[in-house]
Amino acid sequence: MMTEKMFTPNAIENPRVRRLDSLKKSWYKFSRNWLSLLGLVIVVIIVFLAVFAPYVAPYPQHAGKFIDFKFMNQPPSWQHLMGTDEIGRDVFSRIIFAYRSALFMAIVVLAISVPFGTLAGLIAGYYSGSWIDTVIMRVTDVFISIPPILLALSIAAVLRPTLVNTMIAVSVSWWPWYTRMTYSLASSIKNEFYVHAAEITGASKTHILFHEILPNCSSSLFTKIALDIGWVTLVGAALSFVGLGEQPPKPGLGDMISKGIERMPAQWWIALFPALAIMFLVLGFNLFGDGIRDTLSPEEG
Amino acid sequence: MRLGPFILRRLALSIFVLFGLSILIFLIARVIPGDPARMALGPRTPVDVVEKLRQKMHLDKSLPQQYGFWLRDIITRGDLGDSLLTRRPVKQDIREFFPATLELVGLTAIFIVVFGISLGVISARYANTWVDKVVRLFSYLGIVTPAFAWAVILMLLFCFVWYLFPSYGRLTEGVIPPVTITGMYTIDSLLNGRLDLFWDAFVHLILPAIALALPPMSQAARLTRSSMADNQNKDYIASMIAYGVPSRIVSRKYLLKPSLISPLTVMGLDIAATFGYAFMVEQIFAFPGLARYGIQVMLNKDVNAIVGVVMVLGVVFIILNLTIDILVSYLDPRIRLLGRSS
Repeated sequence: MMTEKMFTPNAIENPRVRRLDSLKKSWYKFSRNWLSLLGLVIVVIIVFLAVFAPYVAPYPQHAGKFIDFKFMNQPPSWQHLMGTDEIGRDVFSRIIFAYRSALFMAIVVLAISVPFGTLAGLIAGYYSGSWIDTVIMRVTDVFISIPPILLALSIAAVLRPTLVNTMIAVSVSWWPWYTRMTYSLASSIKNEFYVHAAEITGASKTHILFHEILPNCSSSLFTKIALDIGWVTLVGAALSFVGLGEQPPKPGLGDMISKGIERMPAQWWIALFPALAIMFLVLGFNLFGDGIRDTLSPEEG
Repeated sequence: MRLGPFILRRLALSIFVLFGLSILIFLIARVIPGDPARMALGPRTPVDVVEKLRQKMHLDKSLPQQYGFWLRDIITRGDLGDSLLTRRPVKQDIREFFPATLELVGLTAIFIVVFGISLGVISARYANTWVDKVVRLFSYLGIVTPAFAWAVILMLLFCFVWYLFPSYGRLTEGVIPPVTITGMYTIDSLLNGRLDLFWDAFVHLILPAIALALPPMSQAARLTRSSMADNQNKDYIASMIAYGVPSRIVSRKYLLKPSLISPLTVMGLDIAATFGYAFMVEQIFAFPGLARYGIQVMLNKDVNAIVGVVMVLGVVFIILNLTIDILVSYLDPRIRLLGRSS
């Protein structure tokens, strides 16, 4: 042992240095693909816009109650990059503020559904084959059998159509997918030797679930979370399209599209730019998520 | 396990899921604040009349009993109650609006399957050439752009920049729809032998169907390509080629068939999900389908109609899943033989 230690460089022994080293390696792997980098750039831009919305939007007051008929229905120009809507509000500023609520919604929805879904999946997977597995997974099946948009819609319709209720509704329809994924991972991981070893040495169930099994699901989980930010936003936009979600006069991407459709084709910019904004956001998070998956997945065989 | 018992088992499971779904929907409908009987009759109705309707609707019974009555009415008479919005039986509304959506999603499904698979096969066949790269880029854009964004873009291009397609409705305004047989205009007009009507209805379907099909179609193309690329390097393909089996037979029978398993599963889920996304596209193209009806009743808190719509779409979803499972088990005997449905 002593001789071995002498030959290993000190740096590798230091956990902090080692973590930094693996982070560097991951970054190298991630940055090799220009599409992942593009995704990262888009994500950074969107997060920046969302966080600093009041400072970067050219007309921050247009995100609320604001009417200016003098400048209504203006086509895109240097003054209004994406034109103005039917009551004279700057479309670009409203998109920036809509990004803000969209990202907020994605974070809240995932913060609710990921822990819940993962926990259910872990338990069902660890006890796979027993009645616990059957109960959890059949309940999951029922939730999955309804299209997520429809479930979210009916729940949001039953409750009041506020942003908070929409978030609850989307979370309810979102967790089963995490349960399914964690279940399939956990039910195979539980047969690994290190899990058996932990069981034999008398480790507690919580230790096995959270320290042995969960870390081995983490790369799939992170990938799915990164991708899902885009998809949650999309469902949120769909709900806002029918008037569920952020309530007017606050801007929602879907709401802007549905109002803009009535102005087609003469004022095409009112609907087109929010549609492109959604496309931009989902594209960014997809490229970014794919990049993370490639980085975290073991070497390709 | 043979195919027969396998189907039976899946059928039993589907009925179980359907049962769970009905409980879930029933609960959603019952947690809506407010008295359904009062809501149906309006605020000015005398209390005793409301009480009578409450009794008729079994609202005075316990929750499990209510569920029992509710389920019995649906199963024995297909009775979902009256819609508060249209003042008609929900059954009648659904019969009117569902065929329109079915027609739309049907055409969408054809686009998804035909173009999804063929683009994937082309991409795999010409892997890493410019053809492959164009298809892959196109399918990535397809996946990340939601159907309603496509709807806006397509409408702008093909209805207003180039006047190629109509921008709203199921038929040109003023045209009398064909005699109702199935409720689907394209099929009814063919059954009536009216080719002009068929063309009119078909043209109205194309753009919404493309908008709905693009994201899942791109997904299918990507999956088909990657699973064909995976299987291409398997040993059994190499030995087939070494034995001198004609390459057309190798690619069609031994490469394509196993490669279609995962794309088919995903396509099935996507087609089912299309029923959910259809509402935005129907709204944008002012297409009077079930999804659009569903939105209106949801926004008006029309409980009976909400339950009806969710129930119908849930049943369609379950039927589609069942079909896909059977198809997949046909393609992949391992699932059947091990008795597992993934």
